[in-house]
Amino acid sequence: MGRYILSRTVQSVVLLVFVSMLTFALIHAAPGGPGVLLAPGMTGAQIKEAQRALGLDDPIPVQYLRWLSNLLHGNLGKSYGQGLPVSQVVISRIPLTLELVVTGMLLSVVFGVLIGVVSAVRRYSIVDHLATGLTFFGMSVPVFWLGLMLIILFSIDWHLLPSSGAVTLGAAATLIDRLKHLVLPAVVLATANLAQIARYTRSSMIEVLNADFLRVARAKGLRERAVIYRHGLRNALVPVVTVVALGVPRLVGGVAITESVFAWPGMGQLAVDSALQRDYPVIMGITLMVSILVILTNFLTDLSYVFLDPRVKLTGTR
Amino acid sequence: MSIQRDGRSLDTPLDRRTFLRLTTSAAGVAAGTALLAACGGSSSTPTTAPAGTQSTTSTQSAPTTSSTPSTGGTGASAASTPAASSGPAPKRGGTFKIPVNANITPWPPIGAIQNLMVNKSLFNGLVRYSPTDWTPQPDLAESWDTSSDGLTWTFHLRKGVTWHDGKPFTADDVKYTLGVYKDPNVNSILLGNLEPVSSIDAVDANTVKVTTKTPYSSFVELLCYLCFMLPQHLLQGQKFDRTTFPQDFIQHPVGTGPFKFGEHVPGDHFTVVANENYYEGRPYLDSVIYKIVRDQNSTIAQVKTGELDIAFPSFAQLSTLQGTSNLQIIERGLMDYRFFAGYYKNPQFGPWFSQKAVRQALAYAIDVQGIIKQVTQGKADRSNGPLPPALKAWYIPDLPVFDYDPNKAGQMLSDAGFKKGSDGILAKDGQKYQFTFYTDQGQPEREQTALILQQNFKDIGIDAKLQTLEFNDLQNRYRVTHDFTAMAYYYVTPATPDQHSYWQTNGSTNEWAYSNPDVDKLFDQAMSTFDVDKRKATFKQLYTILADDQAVNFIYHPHELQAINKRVQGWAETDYRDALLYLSKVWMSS
Repeated sequence: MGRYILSRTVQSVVLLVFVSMLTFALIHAAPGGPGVLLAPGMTGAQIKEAQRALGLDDPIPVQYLRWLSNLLHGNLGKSYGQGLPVSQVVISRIPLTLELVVTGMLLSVVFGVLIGVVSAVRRYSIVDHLATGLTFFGMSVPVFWLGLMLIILFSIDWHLLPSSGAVTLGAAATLIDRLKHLVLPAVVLATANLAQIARYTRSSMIEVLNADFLRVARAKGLRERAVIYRHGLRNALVPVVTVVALGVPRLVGGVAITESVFAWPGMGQLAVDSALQRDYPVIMGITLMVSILVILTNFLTDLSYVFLDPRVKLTGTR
Repeated sequence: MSIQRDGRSLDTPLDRRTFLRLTTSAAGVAAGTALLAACGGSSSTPTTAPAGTQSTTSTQSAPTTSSTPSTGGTGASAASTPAASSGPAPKRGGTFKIPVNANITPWPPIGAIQNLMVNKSLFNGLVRYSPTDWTPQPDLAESWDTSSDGLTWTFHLRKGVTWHDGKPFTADDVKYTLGVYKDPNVNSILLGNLEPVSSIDAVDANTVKVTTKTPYSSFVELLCYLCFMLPQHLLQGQKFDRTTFPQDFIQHPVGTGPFKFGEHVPGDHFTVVANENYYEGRPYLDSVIYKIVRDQNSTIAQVKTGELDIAFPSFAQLSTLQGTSNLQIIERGLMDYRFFAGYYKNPQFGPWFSQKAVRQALAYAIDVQGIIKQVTQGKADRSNGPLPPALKAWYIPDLPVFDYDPNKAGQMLSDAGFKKGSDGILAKDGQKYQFTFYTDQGQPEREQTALILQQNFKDIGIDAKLQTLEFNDLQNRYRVTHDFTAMAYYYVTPATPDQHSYWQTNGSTNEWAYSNPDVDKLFDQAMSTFDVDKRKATFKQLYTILADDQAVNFIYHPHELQAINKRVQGWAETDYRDALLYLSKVWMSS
């Protein structure tokens, strides 16, 4: 186990370096320069001077090594646009994104598993067909479209929920207000993931329901509920855990679009802004943090198998 | 990533808005959907301030004694009184919520539209634009005058003005501020405008003397433009440059403006609260919230639901606002012109674009009225040059314009030696008139204009391919690397006829490399002319040449649309950027 953790850590570091190199190369390959240097009123000569002062005229590898060496000194650099340290800029956005991602994850796991189990148990029933239809819709509908449709219906037409932001501006903060703002974005963020979890749960559950050990469980006289939930679901969940884990990067990615549609001031929106404004240090900071998050999740998922399925053994050389 | 479009139809990979429009119309999803309309509007404004400029009168409008060699500015209009509503007496209280489209950094030297919108509530300039005609009006300077040689400007400051932290505002602050904007290390957006300034002196606590190297008659007009005063006592000794900002200050900005810093949640909103000690009296509003909303469709949705009090719809979004009972739709003139410009130094096509006859032929080929009708629903003025009719004091109505006449265009090109090939494309010396021109992505108004231009050019045998580029990419190409052939674009300029940096040979923002010795000379002449009438005459001569030259093909001046909640009163009757200078007069009815 210890050896396994060590080897995974080394792999992760190598992976991080590659991810950062790739991101660095990609964002610098995008045409146009940092938006803050293109402010109206500045002349071409002024812009060139500012680019030089930031070292943007050095070759990309040189710039990358400079970034890396700063990173090793614990310095992520400074946002071009906001003039504040990247760590401060990014960290300030994390809580709201976590709020959204965690809620979205909870929604998708709880309802995804529930729908999956019901579909499997009542295979080919009306409920199953309905669930199948809805999950296909959920998987294929574009996030921004769903978001805008919900805004039109719930905010503009029915005046039930706010269309944007995390709180009502200029009003006293209340829990109800926060929850109201959370509903639409969390639902939109959860949808695709929920649908996928439901599909996987369904097929995994169907497989398990036909397994010999369930027949044995029934034969020894257990009640159907106990058969399904205690013996069936527990075993069906192992592959689902993988899907849930794979959903983390997807949610974190989806957060960029969801946050933009709902003007949710989190990290996803910061990522989009920074990309549009070519705020290189911030983009790199976000990439780094998200990569670490994804790598960590995958790692924890692998560990969780040990607990869910005693047959799984982790070794350093896989 | 850029999208190549060479047909009239939008046969591009579906972007989200197109997709949305298609899907919803198919799904028949209910109305009221401002969201469906294409988004437009000028999110980021490529305002190129005329760097170093000339010519203007020392407009002096305040009730102070001063000896000015020139008469007051033309539109000697009601000074700082915004045209307020008639009706009931103003009421104190309330919050005004206004959208901005990007993160805010309240540091005046760096400009950018979202920042300057906030700066206008936190800070004051020495002078500001009149809400009716953009003539300079007193702000922190009560009055000003020029010496008889035109080289020295004296500003008499308002007394008793204090910073938000209670310290008095003095001539030292002015000297310090202008020094900051003039510092090449700070690399501010005002660097060019202040270029002719040679020295700044605080004569006494309330008097500042500015000396220029050469006569600079448009100085005060340009001082209205984003020249916000900064507190010396908080900034002196701190190091800042183009990307290093004084951190304490930007996290807690201190100005003299009608509103003080309240709260800043990055990425979400920036709140300013009433300054009890504002020199014009406490503003009616308790606070103003600048809410960051990236998507223009969302701003329309939010102004409908009341989450915002104002939004700035594109022409295409107008129909979605019909019948919204809580909103009033206002149309305002704007310092903005749309144009088609070729790059005179482009190795391949530059020699053609630099021929006056070719540019005039292009002007005849462009169906300006058609564009105005189709793209702006008639909410625009035909353009005869860079000055819009809205700039009442300086607009010159009777300049040469080229009415749509494709036959004449064809004739002129044929006279210039172009011949149509078997494919219907004009060619000269074995070179086809076939090039790619740019506009910026995601701005339906400009994309539509460009598509019509493409068709207009095709009709006379010019094969112009349209490529839409992402904003930063386009900026970089035409301003820094000059890697372009032609573009259909827009400029928002400071409100002055002195636009020499755009049109003089080697002007700092003359991106097209236009050059005409007569124009050069007339701008210089205007710069040293202080008498309003003489200045006007010089500019008329100058802009007649520019229009006849078709330095670029001037197309139209769009009007700005404002969708404003009917509760909002006292909102100045001008474009929103300048209305923000008069926020202290805004109030909310119940």
